[in-house]
Amino acid sequence: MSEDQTQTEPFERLDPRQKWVIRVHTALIGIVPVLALGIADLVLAAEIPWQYGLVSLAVVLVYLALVALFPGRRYRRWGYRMGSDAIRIVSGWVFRKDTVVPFARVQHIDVSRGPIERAFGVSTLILHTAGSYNSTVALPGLALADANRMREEIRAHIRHDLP
Amino acid sequence: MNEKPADPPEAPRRLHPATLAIRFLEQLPQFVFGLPAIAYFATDVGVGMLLLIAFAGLVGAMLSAWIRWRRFSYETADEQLVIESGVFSRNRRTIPFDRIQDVSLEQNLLARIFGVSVVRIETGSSGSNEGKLDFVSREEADRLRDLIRAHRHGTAPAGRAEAAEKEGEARPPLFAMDLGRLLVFGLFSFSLVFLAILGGLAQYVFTWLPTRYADPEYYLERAQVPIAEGADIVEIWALGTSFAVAAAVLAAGVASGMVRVFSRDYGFRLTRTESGLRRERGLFTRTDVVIPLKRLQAAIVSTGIVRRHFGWQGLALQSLGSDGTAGTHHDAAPFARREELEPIFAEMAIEMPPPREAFAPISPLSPWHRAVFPALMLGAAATASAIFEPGLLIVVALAAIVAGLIIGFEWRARGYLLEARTLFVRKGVMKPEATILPLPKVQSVTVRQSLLQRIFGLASLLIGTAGAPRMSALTVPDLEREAALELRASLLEEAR
Repeated sequence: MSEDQTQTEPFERLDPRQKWVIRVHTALIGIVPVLALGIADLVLAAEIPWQYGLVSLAVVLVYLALVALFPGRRYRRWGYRMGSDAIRIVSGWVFRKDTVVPFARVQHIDVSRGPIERAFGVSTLILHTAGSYNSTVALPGLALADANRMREEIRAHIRHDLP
Repeated sequence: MNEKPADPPEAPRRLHPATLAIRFLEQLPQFVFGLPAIAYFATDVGVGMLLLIAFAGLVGAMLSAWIRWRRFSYETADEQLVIESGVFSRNRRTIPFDRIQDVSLEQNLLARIFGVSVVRIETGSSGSNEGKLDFVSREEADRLRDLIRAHRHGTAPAGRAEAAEKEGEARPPLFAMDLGRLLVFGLFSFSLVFLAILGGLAQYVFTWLPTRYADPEYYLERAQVPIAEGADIVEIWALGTSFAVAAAVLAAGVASGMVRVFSRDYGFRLTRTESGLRRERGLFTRTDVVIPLKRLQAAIVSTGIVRRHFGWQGLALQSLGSDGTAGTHHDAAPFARREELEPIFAEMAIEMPPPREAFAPISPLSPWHRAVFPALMLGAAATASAIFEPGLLIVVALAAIVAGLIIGFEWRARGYLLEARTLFVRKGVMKPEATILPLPKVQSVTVRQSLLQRIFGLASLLIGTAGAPRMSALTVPDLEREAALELRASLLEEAR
């Protein structure tokens, strides 16, 4: 992580509350395998008595580490920059993605808010393009006001570009 | 917007009566093949009764087809197509001409016998059967298409557009394939897929054939020649059999290529019309598709590992879904010389791909990056065989050489070039192809790096284009990261 794109270039950070959205999301998704392994451990305890609780403990520790550390890293990898005629969005921790969508190529725009996002007051800006690859480009973790402002700004370009 | 007075309101029209005959012929096989099934379940019914049941079924089916035909009507008025259908619950669908993306005509074998065709109306929404008129007479199909197309040219008076369309019919085709061309194309389409099917069948057939007929000793015995004296004959027989098998394989490969090419591309004609390129082709099922130039997104020139050396190329076009199957490429000239492609490119106002040498190669680090996983696998295999079975090391070595060659050739086949507001990307060893993307058609550009690419300092450029096969991006893989960012910057600069 020596060369951090989000540091070398002036990218906008997501709303800090997005870290919590990622955290809650990770926690909810992770709870299923954790519970499954916990139950498996209970069953196995009768068979292999010496390891009683060890597996569960390890899994819970990994889970907690993921929930505690992982969202921060994911969050820091996100960044965006509104240019005069295009938006650039960077993301990804293992696979890094760096996408540019010219405003003139945007077909339509959604601002969506899931239940977790609503709870933390953030929203996702979704750009639809005509391309079959990148047909939707999502930028999560924007304060609702920001998302709406960006939507209006991009929409002005779309209207402007129509013949 | 239309100088001509609106089309005079016309009475609702029915489909061509031949529709009923075609429905009848389409259903006949079901009843013929259904007879044994009925006979099986109704064992105590006589043959006469059986035929009567089948006949009654057929009559019932025809009756329902007739009622449906009676209750189906369409009309074109007020610049929209109105289709009314349904026997009990009526459905009235209105498709404004403005929303119609394309009209394509299609004739299968039965339709051609009766001189009718299917009219497909595409509106660009997801369903593929948005408006389907099967069947109307050939003249009516042409009339509908001309009417809708004339409207789409908007400001031009409908009369003139129609005249231009007619003129287009008279113009010589941009590209056509005669019988000789089809034969050569068939030869190059040599394929052994058909042979695999034959092989599967042969497994069944040969178990029924007495094998002794394939055994030379059987004939020697019958001719009362001592086996020792007949040794030469046995040898010649074996040689002959090998040749016969080889010849049969070759013949099957050529025949399957011929059948495929002739049934698909017989009578291939590409003509310039007012709005785009019109393609007609097919031996049994004849299709008539217009690829509007306005909706053209990219062109792909492809060839084959063998046909490349004979100067044969194919041109396919990527456009926003125009014949029901959105996201497919339309063959515009499946088998042509470079000179023959030139006039088509001129009409499309798209640049021809330059020769191979003009392309810039992708990073020389790319093959090393691609070799990492195969090398790890082969290394593991080599270790395992050194421990357990040293004789297998030679196999591992051979696999390593083959893998190395594949990676090397694939690297050499790749390249890109940005020139004249156009991006050219080439790839492919067995089926080399060059994609030609006019920059205004770029929808989005992504620079992507995997963990391994980061170690090598490489990045891939993925370009979103409209009408491409599902989810696939035009990819320039494994550039140095800086080069990828630079290429993207100039792509977006030019795309404006």
